Amino acid sequence: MLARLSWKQVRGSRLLMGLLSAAAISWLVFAILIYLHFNTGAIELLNLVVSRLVPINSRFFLTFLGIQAVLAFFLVLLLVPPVFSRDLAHQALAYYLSRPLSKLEYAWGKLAVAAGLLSAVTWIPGLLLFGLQAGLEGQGWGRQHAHIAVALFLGSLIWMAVIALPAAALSTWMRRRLSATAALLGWFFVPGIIAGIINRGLTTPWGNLFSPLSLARIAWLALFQITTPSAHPVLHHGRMPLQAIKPVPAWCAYLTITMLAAVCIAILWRRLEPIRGVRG
Amino acid sequence: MNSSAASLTHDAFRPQRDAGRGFRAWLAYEFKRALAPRRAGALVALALLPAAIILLLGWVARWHGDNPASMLSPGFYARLFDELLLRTVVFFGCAWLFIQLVRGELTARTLHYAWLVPVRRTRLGGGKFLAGMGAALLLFGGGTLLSRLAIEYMRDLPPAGAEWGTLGGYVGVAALACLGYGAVFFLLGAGVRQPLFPALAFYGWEQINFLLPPWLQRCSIIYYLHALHPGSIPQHEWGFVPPPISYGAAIAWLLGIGALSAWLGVRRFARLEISYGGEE
Amino acid sequence: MSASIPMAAGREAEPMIRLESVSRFYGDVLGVNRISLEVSGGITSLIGPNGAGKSTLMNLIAGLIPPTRGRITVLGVTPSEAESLFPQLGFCTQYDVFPAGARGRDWVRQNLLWHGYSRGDAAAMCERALARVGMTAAAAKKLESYSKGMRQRIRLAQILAFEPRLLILDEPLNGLDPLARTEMAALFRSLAAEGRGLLISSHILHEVEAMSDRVILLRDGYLAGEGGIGSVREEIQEHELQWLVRCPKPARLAALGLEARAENGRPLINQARVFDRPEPALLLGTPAPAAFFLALNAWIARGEIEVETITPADDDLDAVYRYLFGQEGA
Repeated sequence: MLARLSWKQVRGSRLLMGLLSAAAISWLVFAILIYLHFNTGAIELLNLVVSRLVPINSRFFLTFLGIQAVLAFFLVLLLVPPVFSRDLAHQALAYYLSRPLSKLEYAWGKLAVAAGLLSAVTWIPGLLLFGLQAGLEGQGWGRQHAHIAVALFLGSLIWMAVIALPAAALSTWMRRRLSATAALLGWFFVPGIIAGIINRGLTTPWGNLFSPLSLARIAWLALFQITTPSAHPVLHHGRMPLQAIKPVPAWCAYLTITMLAAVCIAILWRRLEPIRGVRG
Repeated sequence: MNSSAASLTHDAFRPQRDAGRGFRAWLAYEFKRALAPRRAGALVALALLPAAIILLLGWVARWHGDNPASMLSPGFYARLFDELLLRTVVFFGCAWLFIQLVRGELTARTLHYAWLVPVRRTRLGGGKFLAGMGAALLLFGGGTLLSRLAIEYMRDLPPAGAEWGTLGGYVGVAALACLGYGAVFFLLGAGVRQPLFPALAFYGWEQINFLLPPWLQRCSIIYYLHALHPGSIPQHEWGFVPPPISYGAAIAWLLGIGALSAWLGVRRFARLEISYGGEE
Repeated sequence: MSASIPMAAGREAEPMIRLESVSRFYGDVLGVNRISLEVSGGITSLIGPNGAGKSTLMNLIAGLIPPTRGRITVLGVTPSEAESLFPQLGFCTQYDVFPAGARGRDWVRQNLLWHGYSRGDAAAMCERALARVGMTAAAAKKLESYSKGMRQRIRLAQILAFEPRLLILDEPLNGLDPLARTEMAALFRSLAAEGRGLLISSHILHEVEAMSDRVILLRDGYLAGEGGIGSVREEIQEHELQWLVRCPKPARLAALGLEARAENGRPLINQARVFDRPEPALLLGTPAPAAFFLALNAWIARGEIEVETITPADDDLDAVYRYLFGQEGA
């Protein structure tokens, strides 16, 4: 019921439709690139060397995930703050939580729409692309590259944990949509810049642990099994490559993301109070 | 309730009103509100961030047995000032502060109190902007000053002679950034129902400024701030070389952009209607 | 559209509020349409069901929204002339919110400082207004901790403090308990006696009937009628009101009511419908509510019946409007 209500609240948004269309177009472009690899007629007609220009490998799918992740961030920005702030700003939680709805059911009901739409732009189209490539390539390509499918799925979940959970926590913390959206933007941009300065100042990769974007990227690189030097987590603004520096181990990124998710869930749990007391 | 004892003295002694005093009271109230703990907590943290990072890096360097002075060079500070102070702290800080000035009142449904005050709406709007500027100068000018003092402290070199001039230059550029960004965000807050998405687009525009052709680089604020930057910041490897501009012209442009945006914002503010539907 | 309720006598020469063919649209949605009226001193009640356009009309008068068409003059100036108008006009809006963290006394005083009073004068005026609405003791508390009734009072104190000539109060009795309503009504009467004008909105006619000198009736954004309270009261007294009485023996109550007679010889109940489920209740129609309730008290006191609840079945204005103006007027 809550999920249906949340969907009703956002479905009329032109911005939402624009983002979903952009995600669909992006998927289509990648699907066409895969298709061109196997359509020799088209390759000859266009005089393209597609396989050399855009090789279909882990990096191809990582690039796809990266683009979809940016769109997913905008979706979160659009979807998550309003669904919580409307209820919190108007003290509606007392109504929801006085009915037989637990906090967990409430939070899940509210986040279900965001989770569904994020899935629809990240791992679902990713796996469809993977399926298309595996189907066209044949000869056991899918089995040999199963880690890509796993990476697409887990990488998407990690991204959701890095953006959707903080968005929900910030929305319940700030209570107003404007403040929550602003805080979310700050969350997205500011830590990355701080991480870059720490990395550059101390010539270390450990500053990346302060940046959710860098954390997600480290995790993705590990999941996609990409270890070439140029693929190391690049410092923000990319002015000082880290080829010479050993990157942050993936398990540190996983651990930090897990801790971050736990903190967000704790905040969410604490802030979803039916009645907020006021000290006179 | 006492309906007779404390009767209002309608025709007897009536204290004197002073319109100027009313406007000053409005200015003081808005300034205090902009710096109120609820609203300004995050801003204070943001303003202190550069100084905190410098101290952190300096102490870590000392802990490693290195000389902080070699790491915290003038070039390091010049980049930190550009990336962290101008593009992050001042940009996001002003976005938060100035958008909240108007849009925050609309979402909190309290703007009608201002509309029922015997002060012209253009003066109310002007007062809001001036109060925001005062708060921004205090926070971010102060933050710049503290960051510069933090670096001098870590380098064990008390500022002297030309150093004071450089310090003044950095604080001055930060002040002009507050004016430029503050006025643009004030206009966005007064004129757009969802100002954060245009603000995000503006952030993108400022970030890709170096990629733009010279005539488009002039259509930004960061271009003029870079022209006034007291230190030297490295040129991007790719992108266009920014067209030269004199200090005087850069200051005039920033003052002009700030004044024009603020004037438009005040006009828009004065024409706002009290219709809180759709604000969250 | 306008009903034929006679106007009250003794209107002042110069009206405090004058609306000339004022319309306000929100896009395609009608707020109010072609309203022309004049409001003078004393207490004028603006009555209409929810969504009738009362708040829109009040917001237009106070200049919070501009009219799409028409002209508004308040105390001789247009609502956009803030410096001339707002020292004389106090408006308690429908928006029951305050800036976060503010305390009652500070908030009342702050408004006085914006009006240009010195700190000393503001403090004295603030205390007088707080005393007048009975909020001195609670004034140090945060506004967020106030009950609905306290918030109504502090908002009233905020505008009373600068002693305006005209007070516009949007649903000021909302959320108040019966005692507080009586006290508030007495306060309004005393303010009117001081020569101030009060425009008070309500969606419950009986609520403001006792204190109003004049009534303006709004419906669906149109002026449905205006006139002296006497003429409206007469019309209403003729109107039969329906009540739902929950009691263990509804049939017994119906029999008592149908047998009993008012002073004018009419039956106390002329309509009765007994319900057994979901719980025993009687839906009754009475043309003489005052006499009926007097008799009901006597029956309860004598132990003839027990009553759990009494709810007006048509306390919204629809029934009154249908009665006063007919369906097409509604």
